[in-house]
Amino acid sequence: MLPAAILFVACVALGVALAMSLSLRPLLGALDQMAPRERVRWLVGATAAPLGAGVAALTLALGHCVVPRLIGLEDDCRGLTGAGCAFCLLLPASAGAASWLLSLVVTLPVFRQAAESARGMYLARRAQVRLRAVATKGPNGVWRVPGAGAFVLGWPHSVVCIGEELERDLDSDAVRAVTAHEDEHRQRGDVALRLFARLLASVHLPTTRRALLGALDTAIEQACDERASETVADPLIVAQALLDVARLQGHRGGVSCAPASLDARVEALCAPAVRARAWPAAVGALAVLAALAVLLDHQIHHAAEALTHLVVR
Amino acid sequence: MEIPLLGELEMAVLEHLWAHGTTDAKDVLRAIGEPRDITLSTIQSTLERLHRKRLLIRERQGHAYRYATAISRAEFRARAMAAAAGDLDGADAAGVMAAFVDLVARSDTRKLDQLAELVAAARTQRKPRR
Repeated sequence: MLPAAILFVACVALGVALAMSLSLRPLLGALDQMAPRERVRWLVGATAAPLGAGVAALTLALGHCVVPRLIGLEDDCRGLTGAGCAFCLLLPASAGAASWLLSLVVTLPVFRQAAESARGMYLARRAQVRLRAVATKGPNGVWRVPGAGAFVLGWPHSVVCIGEELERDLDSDAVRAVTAHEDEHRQRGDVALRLFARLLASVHLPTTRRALLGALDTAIEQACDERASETVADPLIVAQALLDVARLQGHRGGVSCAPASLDARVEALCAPAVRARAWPAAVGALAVLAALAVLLDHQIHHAAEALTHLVVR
Repeated sequence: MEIPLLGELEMAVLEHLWAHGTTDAKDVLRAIGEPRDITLSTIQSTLERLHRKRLLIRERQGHAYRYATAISRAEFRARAMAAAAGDLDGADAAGVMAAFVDLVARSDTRKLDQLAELVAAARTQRKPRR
């Protein structure tokens, strides 16, 4: 049953991932019109779409006749062969080695990403221990560390680090903006969100994954830029602070800014666009999908049955 | 020499030695151990560990050792930050870090100048929002 379920979810996820890959450009274009905080939610939804669709389709397929069978109700589904539902028949069947191997292969990207995230968490923890040795702890829990960086690090215990050179060379408003930006990351739990999104995005095709995660990172940064703008009551101070920090880090050599993300952030701060609200469209789309799922329950079940039969047998 | 990972007590001992120069275990106990309710043997083993990590040097005086730091505080901070930078790169790549400005090995001062002009133009066009 487990390999059948995994392979079924993988097939649906692959289909959705392909469809999203083909419609990536208009999708990102539409998301660009939204306010950053709303865009973050939509982008997380987009990264979760293939896996979510797979699990939803599996639930629908199981719900049609497998669940009634499990709870002892009569199953009137005769399936593709007429002798019984092939999807239901998979339930008691023991999976072959090939099915197990195939299901392992299709889940490999998710396991690989999980391992990468675990490694990142270990490195972040180690960096925290190293930084604690050289940091001065501020009154609001901010660590002052050598250098010109400003970042929030680690999960589940995130710490905000502000570089001493940055504090020395930037004016007080800019430092306040940087600190508010990083503190917003900590309060929103952005590190956990990014880890979660990377795990969900591992089922996307590589180009789609890179584009979605890039857009998500930019949206997260812009959401925190907005908070920093509210703190200092002027978005241009935040824009100037971004450029000053990028220059500071550039002067120190080795690290500097990623131009694409910086462009988008500075431009958004200089000319905040009028943002469309997207939730009515989302509610409408979900209602249509739910209605279709109920109306096409039988067809979805048999499509699932045929697909699973094809893949597993 | 790479700076090893240090615990809180090890850092406190190092800070004490940087502040007070050469000292022995009993001095460290009075300054750091007693306020934290830590025994002499714990202090001695901490000093021993720091010596093994090559952060302290020591010389025997009678039955006891006297300890001094092997590197200055500034050198320690520089090396610890260099070691942390490697970890930070890995953490950034894995998404466990969010930097104010992305830590990517790429620099384009011309692009920064263009963006600075954009900020200046925006500043002249509109008053700050209050």
